[in-house]
Amino acid sequence: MKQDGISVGDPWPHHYRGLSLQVSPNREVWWQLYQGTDRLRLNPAPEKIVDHLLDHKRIGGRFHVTEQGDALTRVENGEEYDQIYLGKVDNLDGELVPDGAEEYSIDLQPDGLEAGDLWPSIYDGSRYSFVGDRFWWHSGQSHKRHPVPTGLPIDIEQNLQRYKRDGGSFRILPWGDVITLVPIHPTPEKVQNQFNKLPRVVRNIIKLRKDRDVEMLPVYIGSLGDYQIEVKDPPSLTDSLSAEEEESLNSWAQNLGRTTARSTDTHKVSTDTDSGGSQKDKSTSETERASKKNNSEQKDTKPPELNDDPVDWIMEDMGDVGEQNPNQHDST
Amino acid sequence: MSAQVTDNTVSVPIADNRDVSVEPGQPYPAPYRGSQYSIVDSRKHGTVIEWKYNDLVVHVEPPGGLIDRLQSLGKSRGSGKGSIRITADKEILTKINADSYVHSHHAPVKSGWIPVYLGTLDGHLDFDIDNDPSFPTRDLWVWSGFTFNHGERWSVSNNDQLIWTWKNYRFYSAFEHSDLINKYATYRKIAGRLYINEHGHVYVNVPRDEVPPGETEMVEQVYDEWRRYANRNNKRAAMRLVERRLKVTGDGDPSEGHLPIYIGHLSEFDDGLIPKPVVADEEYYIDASHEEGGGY
Repeated sequence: MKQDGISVGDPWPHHYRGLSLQVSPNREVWWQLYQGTDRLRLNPAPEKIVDHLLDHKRIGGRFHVTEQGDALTRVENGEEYDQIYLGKVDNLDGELVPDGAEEYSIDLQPDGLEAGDLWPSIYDGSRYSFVGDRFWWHSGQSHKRHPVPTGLPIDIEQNLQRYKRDGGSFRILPWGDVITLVPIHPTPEKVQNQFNKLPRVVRNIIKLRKDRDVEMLPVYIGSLGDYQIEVKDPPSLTDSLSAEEEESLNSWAQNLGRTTARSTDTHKVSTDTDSGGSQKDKSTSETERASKKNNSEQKDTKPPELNDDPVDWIMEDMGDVGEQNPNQHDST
Repeated sequence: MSAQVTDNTVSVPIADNRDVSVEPGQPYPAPYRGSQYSIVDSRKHGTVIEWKYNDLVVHVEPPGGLIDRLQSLGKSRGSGKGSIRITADKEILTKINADSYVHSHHAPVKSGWIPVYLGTLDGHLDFDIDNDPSFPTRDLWVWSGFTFNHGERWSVSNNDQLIWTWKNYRFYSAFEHSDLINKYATYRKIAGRLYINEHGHVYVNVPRDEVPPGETEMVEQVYDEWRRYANRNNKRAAMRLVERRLKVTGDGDPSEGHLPIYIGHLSEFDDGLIPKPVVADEEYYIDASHEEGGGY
């Protein structure tokens, strides 16, 4: 059972991520709604992985399954955590059984879905993010974005851009299904109907509430198939400049002489220094005009903050702002 | 340790031409503003201070005394983590939730996120980026300290006022800054932004097409010189910060971006007056209390 020559029990050298599951001391495997009390038992449990996990954590504990089916766990080692490879999960499948309500079991791996359909199961998996055609994995430990330079398959990119126009995070399950959360759906009746058909206990688990007014629903985006996501080290401020960056710096200077005469403006600003507040109203509107014209000037100091994943909301509820809790294992 | 938090009582301009004395730990009765940093845990280096813009992240040791002060005041339920600001007058500010802030009864708004003055910055945060440059022989240079989330952000109006804006709030500086604005106007024809960092350095955004005709050669020359200097001395971080600034302000096209131009230190203008926005509308405090990062 090897991955890139890594054997079970070896340190995991790649980025730490994946669907989060909990092994209890009696060998049961559970999925839990973040910090909530609702939980679902996975039946059947992946026995081999449970064995390997119990070798490292005698009373059980949490493990993650990447989008390629690699099972990982973190083991405390003094003040640090070691990341350990637990083996490949060949086919993670089965039912998720609500605690005390077995008749409402749902499939871990729903099938027969089309892009845009409600995802009628848990919202979890390896978390990645995108804006436009830029993709990355965010490390909860270093707080850095690790780029995915080769992106994702084109149909996945297009569906993400369609259902999540402004970008944001999405999840990839161990069998390659890609899902994301949407507050507004292009065809809301369709997902709402799909949602209403589910048993209430399931609705309560997959309905994810962001703010008082915003409910987000998970939708199916597509399948990665055999595509492997390649994650690079994050850029450092002191890395050598790429050819593109060099060219950017050059491009500003080219044509610098290209200015049109707008002499009135020039004189207004540079010669009229003692006009005081007498032109207040006029100047106010001019300032605003200038600001609008240069709207990128406003935008520059406010990069988009992506906050569209339940893990982020929970951290906020806890009084943290996400970045403050790098040890949060779920943020992988 | 290269920086410390100092227990200075500061004078903060408020309405009706008055100043109010504010002691460390007390609510801050002026706009929440300045260079933006966060206190975070780093697996490798323990508790650090972080500068960040999207994928660009740098960590250094926090100023001495800062974490203790944040914790004792109840920041982030006593963990001391979260974001801070440093004004052009080196005032270190944070916002503390009223639920856990020990002095919330003194605040102008007693619920939500309350802006708090923590003390002043003495020394330099140890970033490997030159945010406190010295150019004794230069009138103009490219600003290549942090080019995002750095410095107080002011607007220059066409009637020569400095205005601090947030949402629909527009607060004027308590002082006149005619020298500073004159210098600004030399390099940019119309109203726009200027930034003042915690060491008193001023930089402006210069779109290529808005350099006044008489100054284009000078700007071009300075930019060329800076690039040669940065290349020769392998100033990769500086080049990257400028490159990113051009790209972002140009909406992806760096040739249309705004060059960050360093125009001098506050000590060179208006007898060294530091611009101070005066809250002229108390509603500001209510709006700003709704979010930890809000109000700047």
